[in-house]
Parts: sequence; structure tokens; C-alpha cells
Amino acid sequence: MTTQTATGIPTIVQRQRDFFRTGQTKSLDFRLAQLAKLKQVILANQDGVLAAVKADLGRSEFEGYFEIASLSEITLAIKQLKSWAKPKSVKTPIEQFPSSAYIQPEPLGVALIIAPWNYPFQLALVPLVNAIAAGNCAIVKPSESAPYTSQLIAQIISEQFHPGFISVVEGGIETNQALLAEKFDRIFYRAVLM
Amino acid sequence: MEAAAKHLTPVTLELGGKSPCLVDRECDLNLAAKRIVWGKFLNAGQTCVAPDYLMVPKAIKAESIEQIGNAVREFYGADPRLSPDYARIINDRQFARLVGLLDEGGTEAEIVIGGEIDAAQRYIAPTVIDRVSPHSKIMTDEIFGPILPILEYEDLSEAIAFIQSRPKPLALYFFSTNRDNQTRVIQEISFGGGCINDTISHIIYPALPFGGVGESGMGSYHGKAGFDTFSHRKSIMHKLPFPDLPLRFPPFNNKLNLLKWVASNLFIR
Repeated sequence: MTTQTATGIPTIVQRQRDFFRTGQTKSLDFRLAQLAKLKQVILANQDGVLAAVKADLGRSEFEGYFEIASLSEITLAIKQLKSWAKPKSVKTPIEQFPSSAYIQPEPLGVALIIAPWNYPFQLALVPLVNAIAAGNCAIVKPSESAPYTSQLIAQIISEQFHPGFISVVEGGIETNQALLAEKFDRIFYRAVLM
Repeated sequence: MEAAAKHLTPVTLELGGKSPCLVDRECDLNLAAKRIVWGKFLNAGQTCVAPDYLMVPKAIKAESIEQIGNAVREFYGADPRLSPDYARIINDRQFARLVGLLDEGGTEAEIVIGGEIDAAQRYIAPTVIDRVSPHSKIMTDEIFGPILPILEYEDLSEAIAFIQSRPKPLALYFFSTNRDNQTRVIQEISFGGGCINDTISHIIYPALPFGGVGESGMGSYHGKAGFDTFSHRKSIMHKLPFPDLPLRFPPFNNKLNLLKWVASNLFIR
């Protein structure tokens, strides 16, 4: 499913809603396992990422390696997830005695991540890591201006992840418009000049 | 935004803008030049948090330009076109836009470093432009490419006032060894995030939230901030069945006095 037509987009979103409703992503073990898998996928495809970024931007491999920095996000998320996701107690006032109060973080649902072309791998993957850590399903729309990287992201994600959980939709402005016509629970948009 | 508003979808927007790089009279100019050249010409300037323009004290402007020229040659050689470490512009549209900007510094603008282009490769040399007009297109549009305009200033207050008069930038970099000046710049100017004595590196460390303010973006991500961005914070009050104080329930009769007493003795303290 590397290339999606605009007509398929409602189906992709609905599939994610259904997946989210199964509740699987609420489990911390699920999120940790998916983050660990994503880390493995990135490690296994490092050379492909460097080559794609070089093809898109003529970047040296050294600079291309910054794209792999999303790994440090994964490492941090795996280390900290339990503490981030824990309910946080707050003090309750005397007139509410006896009671306890807390803040429970919960996933939003289905997120849309629209990535730019300038750091085309990193800027698609870092918000994806954040969305997975928080227990969301996500649709990633890589930039069509960096076609090699876009294709690579679509390929490695579709090979390794359930499309109800993470989907990659490739395309240009029409695809963006078709995506934005759908309802999401968060849109993460990193805009750069086209 | 409009599409998102239709569905009331929360939006995190990472934008950009003109991120200033401010050089203080008191600084290690040689070090500053290297770190500025690195951050500016990394990915041929196509970095959201790249220094967009440079502000230097008039008295050290000539030396700053010389040091920047040295750093460019040291990093990319005499002809950066031949350097395997220097990137190209993403597409023809961006290339044409940037080439256009080379001539948009105002009537007095002068290219002091670089300026060479090669359309076939979408190559634009690391370029520094002096004597730009603050009202020229190159000083109002986000550059997002390897062109660095330089503005000079007399004293730090003037530079701070200039930056404050513009949209809040995504990043700001301040090169200074003076503690008081460092504090002033951080406290007096609003911007997304930035560095003292470096460029770019504040976004590399995931424990620091990354995002803009005002025109440069809304919301933030990386690490815990990213977790929060994709989470809802659900508030829960968990009460026990006993005791069930009757004060809040009607009929209220004379309970108002009691409520006033409770409020003044418990809530307002």
C-alpha cells in the first residue's frame, strides 16, 4: 500500500478508528513493543535512509545520519513511558475530604502527521514516535518533494506495522486535502516552504 | 487550519520564520563563526531552525565576515560545489525563489561571500550578503536556503528592540561571553527556543520541548512534550461514599452563612 488514491483515504481512517477502538494501543506493553519494533526497523534500514536522503537532497551521509536521530526519541520514550503514562496525583482540598484526585493521560485516538521535505525521514518519524508512545494510531503523510524518502517510509512501515495502527499515505496537495477532509484527533503539521 | 477547524481537530503547527543569530561584542568570534557557518549551511540552509540572518556589532562586522569566510573555506573548500559535504536545493521552484532573493537585499546590498549558482545542480554557494536593508524582501521573507544577510548594530538594546519589533521567531542564537547580556537576551526576547553560543543543538536533545511561539508555531513535541501533545489529560476526582456532607444540597435555608464561613476560613486562606 505504498500509493493511496484519495478515494481510499476514508477507508484508511476508518480502519484506524476501528483499530483504536479495540483498545490495544492503550496497553503500555503494546506501545513499548511497537516502539522497539520501530527501532529495529530503522536500524535495519539505515543505509536505505541515508541513500534516500542523499537522492532527495544531495546530502552527505554524515549529515544524512541526523535523520537517524529519531532513534534517540525512541530510546527516551521506551525508558520514560511508564512514568509519562502514570496517573499523576494532585492534592485535594479539605472540603473535598475524603477524596483523591489525579490526572490520567489517555491517547487521543487517530493522529495525522504531515511531514516536510527538509529532514524528510526524521521529521516524519519523531512525531510518529511521540504518537505511538502516547497510544495513538497514526497516519503519516511524508513529503512528495522528497520522493525517495517518502517511498522508503511507506515501504518500511507497511511491511512491519498493521495498517490499522500505522499507515503511510503518499501524495501531494490533493492527498493532503483529502486527508484534511477527514476527522482526526490531532493533526501534527510541520510546514516548510513548498 | 480551516480544514481542522471544521472538525474541531486540535492542531500542532510547527512553522518557522526568521530566526536571528545575534553576536555580542563580547564573544569568541572564531568559535562563533564556525558554529554559525555549521548551523546555517547544514543541509544548504534548508533547516527550520537555521540562523536566518546575522546581527553583529558594527565594530566587529568586518572581522566577523572574515571569520565566516574562513570557516566556509575550512568546511567546504575553495569551491563548495566540489565538496561532498554540501547539499543541494530540493527542487527547481525553491532554487528559483532563492536565486531571486540574492538580488532582493536592497540597493546597497553586496554579496561578500559566495553568490555562485549552478541551476543544473540546483547549487547555491554558501552566501553572505552585507548592507541589506531591514525592509528588503530578504529581510522579511523566511530564507530557508544558504544565504545569510548581515545587519549591523551599535548597542545591544538596539538589536533587541529590532528583533522584538518582528514576528516571534522559532529560534534565536546568541553568541556572548557576557552573563548579563545572555540573561537580557533570553528574558527580553520571545522565541520558540534557542542556544547560547551555539546553533541548532537545542533541538537535538529530546528532553527539551521543541516548538514555536506566536507566528512561529503552536504546540510542541520531542520527548515528554511530544507524549503530552498526543495525549489528553483526563482529570478525575475520586470521592469516598462517606461522609456525605449535606451542606451543598438544597433546601439551603440558612446554609448561606455557613457557606460564607467555610469559604472565608478554608478557601481564601
